[in-house]
Amino acid sequence: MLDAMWKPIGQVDGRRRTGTCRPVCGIVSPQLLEAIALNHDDPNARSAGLRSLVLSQSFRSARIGLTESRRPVSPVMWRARRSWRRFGLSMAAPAVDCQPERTISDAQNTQRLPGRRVRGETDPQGDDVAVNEAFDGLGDTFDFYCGVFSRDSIDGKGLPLNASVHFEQDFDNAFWDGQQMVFGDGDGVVFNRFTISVDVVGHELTHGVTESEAGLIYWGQAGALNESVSDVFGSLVKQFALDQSAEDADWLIGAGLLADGINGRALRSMSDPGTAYDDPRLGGKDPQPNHMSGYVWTLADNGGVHTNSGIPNRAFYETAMRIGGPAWEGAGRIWFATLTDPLLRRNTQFQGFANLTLRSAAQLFGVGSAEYQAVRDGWATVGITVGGTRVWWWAA
Amino acid sequence: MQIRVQRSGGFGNIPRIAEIDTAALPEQEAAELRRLVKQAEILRFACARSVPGNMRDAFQFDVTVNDGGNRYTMTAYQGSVPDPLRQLIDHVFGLRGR
Repeated sequence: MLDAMWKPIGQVDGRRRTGTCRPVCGIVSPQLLEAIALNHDDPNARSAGLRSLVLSQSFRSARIGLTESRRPVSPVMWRARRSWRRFGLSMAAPAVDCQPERTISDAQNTQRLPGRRVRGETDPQGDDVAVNEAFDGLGDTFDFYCGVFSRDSIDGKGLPLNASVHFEQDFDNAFWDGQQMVFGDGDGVVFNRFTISVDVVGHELTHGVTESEAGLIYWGQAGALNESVSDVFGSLVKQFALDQSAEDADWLIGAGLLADGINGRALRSMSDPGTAYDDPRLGGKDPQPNHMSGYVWTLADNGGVHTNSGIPNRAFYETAMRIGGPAWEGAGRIWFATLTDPLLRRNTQFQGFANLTLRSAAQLFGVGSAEYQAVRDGWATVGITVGGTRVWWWAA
Repeated sequence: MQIRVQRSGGFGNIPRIAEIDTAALPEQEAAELRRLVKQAEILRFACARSVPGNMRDAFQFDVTVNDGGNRYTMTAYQGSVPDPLRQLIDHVFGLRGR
């Protein structure tokens, strides 16, 4: 897919090309198949419609990084695939065969990792809520990357997904230790258990994606981009699971994490950085800036990676809202193309990243498209200028 | 001797800060604190450590000791905090309750 992203587009006949893949044309449109799958009276017809939709959509999914299609994945399709897998039914082989391999362990309130293995991929649900939430969150994140970007697990090669719950005591954090996810139970006063929000899982696993792609260093602006990318895709995992458009989404990170009585909606707001909370038990007011003029220079938090991420977070939100519809289809694809772009370096700063998003928008949707304008305007709202009057040419 | 322990980072980036002046403590507690500081070897090995491996959203701990006008800071990250430093951090947070 990376090679294909470099293919020239917008040439010769003036129409956008779709790279090296041959076109896949079905006789029956996906919309009609979806209607049949949902509405037909005959259950056999519904089932057949569903199977056809899954099979044909999987061929289309293989082209996701390249095509002009505005709807790479139907929520009906990905929910169907998940249902089929839960019932142990095999599907007709999709073009991209993604099967998660999840293991949840219990650290039993110690620091020892991974801890005692409690639930594997084929094990049934048990009584431990945190275990089940972690299991489902890993699944939702896996389904998102597979369904939207045809990415087989976070490294694109089927990496097993491991998580440990009940780490330490009253531990108010969740983190990625370089190889697995680790969840605390929260202290119950300020924080609930960290498995409670799917965007937490999406955020952490996306660190793994970033590590296998651009490898943005975890310091300063590059680190804030690293953090922002995790918030972006963590939020998209949630929006995808809830089948929300950009207009429907709350654009909050960690909305379920704050305990009752805390004056705050979430830990971060992508739409309005700096407004998520204001409570002395959280150290005061949400410190995120919403514009480059508010960039925070500090040595804490690896140079403020969780603080300054507010700036690129807002740029993504503004871009997604201007494009409209499901955010993973427009802005999400642009950002993912940027994350997997070889030009994105470990120490790329905000300006460089913004430039690359515009370039990705040009490649995916065309110079002057609504998406291209949205990216340019989105970055402008946070004080970063991209595009200008320069004409974008890129090498074959 | 003034000691300042600051925790930053983590998924939520909720800070925790605790400061103590040994001059304001009873002699026994002040002695305990001095012992922990010495054990952590901050004054000898004041340094900053880089984020270990590929850990993300781990806590960052900055311990600053102000001793007779000399200031030393040691930075460590969750998962690789040396045990003596961990003891000092827990003790200071315990005394100050935050």
